[in-house]
Amino acid sequence: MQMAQLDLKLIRFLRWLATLSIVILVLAHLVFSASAFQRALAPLWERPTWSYADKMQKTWGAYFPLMQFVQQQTPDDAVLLLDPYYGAVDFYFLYPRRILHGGAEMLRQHPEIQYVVINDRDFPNFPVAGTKLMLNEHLGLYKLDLPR
Amino acid sequence: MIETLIFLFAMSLLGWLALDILRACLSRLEQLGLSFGIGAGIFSFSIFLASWLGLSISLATGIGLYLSLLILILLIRRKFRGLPKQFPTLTWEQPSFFKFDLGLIAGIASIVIAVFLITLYWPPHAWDALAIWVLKGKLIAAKESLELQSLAAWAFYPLNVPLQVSYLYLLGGGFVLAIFPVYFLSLILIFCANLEQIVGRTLALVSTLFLSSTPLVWSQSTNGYANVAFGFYYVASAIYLYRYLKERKKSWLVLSGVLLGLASWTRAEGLLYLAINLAVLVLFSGLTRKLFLNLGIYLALFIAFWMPWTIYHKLAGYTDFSNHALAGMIEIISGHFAWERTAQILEFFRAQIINFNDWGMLWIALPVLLLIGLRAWRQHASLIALIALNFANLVFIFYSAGSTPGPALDWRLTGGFNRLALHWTPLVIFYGALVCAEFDFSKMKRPTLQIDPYLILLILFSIFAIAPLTAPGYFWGAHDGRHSVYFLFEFDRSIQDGIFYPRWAPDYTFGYGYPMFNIYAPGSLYASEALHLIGFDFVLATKIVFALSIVLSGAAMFGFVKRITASSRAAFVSGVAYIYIPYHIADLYVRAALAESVALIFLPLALWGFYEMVIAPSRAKIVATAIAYAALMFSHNGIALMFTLILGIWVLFLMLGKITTYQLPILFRLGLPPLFALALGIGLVAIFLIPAVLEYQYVRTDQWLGNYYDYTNHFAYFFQLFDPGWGFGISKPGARDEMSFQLGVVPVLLAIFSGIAIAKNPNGTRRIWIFFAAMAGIIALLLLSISAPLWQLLRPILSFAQFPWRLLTLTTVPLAILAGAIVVSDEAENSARDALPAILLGALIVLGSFPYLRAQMIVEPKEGPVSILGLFRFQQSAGEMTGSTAWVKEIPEWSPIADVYFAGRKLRSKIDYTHIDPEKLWIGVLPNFAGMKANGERVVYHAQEDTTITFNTFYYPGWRAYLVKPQTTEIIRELPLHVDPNDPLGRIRVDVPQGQEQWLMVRFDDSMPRVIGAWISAFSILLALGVLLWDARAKRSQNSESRIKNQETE
Repeated sequence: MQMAQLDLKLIRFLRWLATLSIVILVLAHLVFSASAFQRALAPLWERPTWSYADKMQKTWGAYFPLMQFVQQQTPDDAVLLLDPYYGAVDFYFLYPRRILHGGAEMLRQHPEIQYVVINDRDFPNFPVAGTKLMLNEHLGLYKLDLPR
Repeated sequence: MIETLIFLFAMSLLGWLALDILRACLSRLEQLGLSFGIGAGIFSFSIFLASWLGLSISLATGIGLYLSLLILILLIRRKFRGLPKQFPTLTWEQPSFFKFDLGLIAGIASIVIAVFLITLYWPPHAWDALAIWVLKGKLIAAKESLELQSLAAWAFYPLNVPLQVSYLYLLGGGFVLAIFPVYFLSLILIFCANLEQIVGRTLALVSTLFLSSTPLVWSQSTNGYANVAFGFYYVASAIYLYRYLKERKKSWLVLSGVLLGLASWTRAEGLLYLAINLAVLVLFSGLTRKLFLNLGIYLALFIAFWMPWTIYHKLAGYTDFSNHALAGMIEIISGHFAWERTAQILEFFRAQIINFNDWGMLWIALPVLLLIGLRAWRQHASLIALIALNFANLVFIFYSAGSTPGPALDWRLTGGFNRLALHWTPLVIFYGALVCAEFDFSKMKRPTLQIDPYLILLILFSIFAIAPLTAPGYFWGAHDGRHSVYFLFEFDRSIQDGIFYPRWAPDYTFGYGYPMFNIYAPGSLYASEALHLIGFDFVLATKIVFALSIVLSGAAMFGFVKRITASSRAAFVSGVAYIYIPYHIADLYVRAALAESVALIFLPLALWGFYEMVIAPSRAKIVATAIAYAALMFSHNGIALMFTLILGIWVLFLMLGKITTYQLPILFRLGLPPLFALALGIGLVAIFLIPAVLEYQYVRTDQWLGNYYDYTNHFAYFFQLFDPGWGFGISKPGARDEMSFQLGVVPVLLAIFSGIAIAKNPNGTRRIWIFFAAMAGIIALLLLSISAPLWQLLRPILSFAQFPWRLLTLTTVPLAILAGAIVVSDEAENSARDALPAILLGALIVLGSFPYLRAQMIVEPKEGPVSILGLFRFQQSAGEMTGSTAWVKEIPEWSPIADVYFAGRKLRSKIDYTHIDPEKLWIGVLPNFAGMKANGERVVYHAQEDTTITFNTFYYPGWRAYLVKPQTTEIIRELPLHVDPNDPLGRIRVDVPQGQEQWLMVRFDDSMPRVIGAWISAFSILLALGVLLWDARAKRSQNSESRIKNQETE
């Protein structure tokens, strides 16, 4: 009888242990989530007046002002050669301009290219004949001498 | 913004009306949750088909198609249910909520609002949004056709999400990310609505709060990726499949098929998920003719959504996701299974378990839920199968990714895991809710709430012992004060690198490393690490574990004494004595011995367990005893080994007591449960014990033997056992010790008074008091130089104590037990007045030790803040922190690694560059220190000829070197690793072959004893679980039998 009571107590203890585990897990989960939410919501009250450009520059760094610069300096039907590093994101910023990704070989194969975008990743790392339009020391454009 | 709201409303309306066909089966909340996803999915799919047929993707086409779809749905609805009486049906039953439910709803609503606000704040800015999902939508809207969508990355991705985005652009492009939080809202609505029907509202709401607050779920709903949409479709599809298998309603199967089809119209992995759902459908339906019909329906619905886009993109010539999976499958079938790659994937999963910032406690919850739900696993087997197959699918996707060109597996794991796991992890929480429902909290009795008031009193009495810990600062000057914190610092280094069972401390001995945790029981460190991972700093985490060790050790003693005496009063007095015995206080505030303090919790528990093994054994108790013993060993192996001898005598003593009433042959049967518990306990802790025993010989111990460490210099003098003096210094040869070795005046007096109990024999406990009185006396003798010959004789066992006075740890147990003897009586403990003597005795014990409750708190340690620099400074002043392995001839006093850190830089590699010719051998490290781990490093090299690279790391069994694939840890082949016998530092040297861009990995792997230990522990855990299951089943059948008997009797 005493044995059975003890076992029953053990089972009940295990049940309470399980309950306690679940409660602790849920609470700990909420604590971690609260901290993640705090980080995600922080910009909303710390920088509520940020413009689209501020937000994009925060995410993309120097790449975003370069894209804005290219938009301003080139017509909508321009053909541009870009560093493949950012891939399809270039289309997002520069559409409807025609974009080609590649290096010197691409430039040689496509005589219709009018501009080569200069970025801070040592691109273009091949000679380009054209007029430099610079946003700053590292970022800008080559407006190619035509016809090539 | 208005246009966006109109679009969202229009899509929801379309879905609502379409779902109205199934109105009889769906609750309003379900219908609401599904409406946007279904409506938007059908609309975008129709637009795609129309575009393929040559129509432009314009506003006019959209409106036209939308109206056509509305009419079509209403016609179908009319056929099935007649004309709608309301348009749309918006009646709602008045729900009645508990206050708690309202709180939960408020919590979930806050999360939804926060997700909308975060999405609203940011424009599309994340890579996948700009390069895939939003870009596709933008290009489709700009060209009003699918012509340019292939400019986006991964042209083969389906267009459900991009076409919705394109219409938001066509409507003005105000808030194109709006659909993502709506999918999030839909996911939690459908999740909650389904759960509510199965487990009730409150549990459904708690689970939904858990799901919606999982950081990755909501964060992926704000960034413009299609994962949340896919997650919604797939999770809903899986839930309805589960419900179909439970309830066999055809509507659920249809809904599941449609949702799975829409999932395949959202992301490219649809076929793999179809395979999972079909496998579960077949497995849990049984082989009947109906099954084939159901399979046909399911497949047809899926194919209807999956096939057109598949044909379209094949015709367009886009690369296909399924090629990756196919390549992996072929590789596996052809027998070229890459275990290393699989191990890397599993290792990554292991690291994700503690990735709390992304997953919260989700992955920790899973094993807990599986354990709790073990009993009812059959009821939810289909859901468990869905989860298991999804996990296997994830492993397979990554395995396949590793066999194709493109980004390395490392990148795919880190960049893709979370998103792909997100697609099905809500099912884990769904399963958790079902398990909790089975658990039936509402019917739980409240036995454990009837806590013994003496236990509460004991916890209150322990406040004085804990109080010094609450002072600012930490006892940095205590003997092992710094050790306890810096052990944790090193332990954490490995845990943070995803090493769950650390063995190597990389920064020991000025960075040469040391297998600290291979030979040092890590139990207390796991406790403090858990607190550190929650957010406490190293010092606070250590202090909390100290505090817990005090309270829990008192409670453990309370439990044991109450069991053997059936007296709460005696248990209370013993518990107080155990906490306040001077040596226990010295362990905390003078020695700061964390491991030993934690081990003190398990000494009474082990005695209790083995007591049960002889007196009243059962299967569950065998497991409990094994756990107590294993925990003791895992906390402090030295104390555990010495205490094992005492436990052996304790068991024999108890058995002798039983033999007087039974016959001698029973001796063997009596001995089996304790032996089995001991074996299981050793098995549980084999992961630590086997390597510690077998590989201890590979560390140098000479620096800790002889001279100061000669045990003959550290016997206590007889007068010191009773000397009330106190000090914070160290033990010194002779009688001039600067710390106290007293047994404590009050515990000793109470032990003497226990003679009364021996004479009176209250509750028949005389034998117990005699045993513990003898134990106290013998251990006290071993503290004195008189026992030197015995020390010589029992050297192998007693050497674990290091110094004779450390046996004081073992005297705390019998003295505390004897302290309670005086209040044990044959009479029942009913009246509150009877409590007074016990309380006064407790107060007397506290007062007797009160002057010693002091800690020498230092706010700013001389080593500076807890850091790698602090660790090196500490090592300069503490010889025991400069442990070395058996291959080291000269213990270093500084290192080039320490130079790097003290120059304010981070360590990029442990390679010794001093003898490297840069013209013949070039070595590069990974950016962002990614190559450096606590258990090794990866570098890339160009070598003109075969050469040898030396690492500033002590050799120890387990260090191995490999050539690996670029940017990965996939092993190509192992390289010879050796020690130069002439190198006084015994460092590891690796012979590397010549070659360009060779990737070298040096790693501290598991040696054979470690592997065997780990397997034995794993087997023992399974065995323990099996025994518990067996016990539970046996009890259940016993209960049902007795119920039947009772009924028959009635």
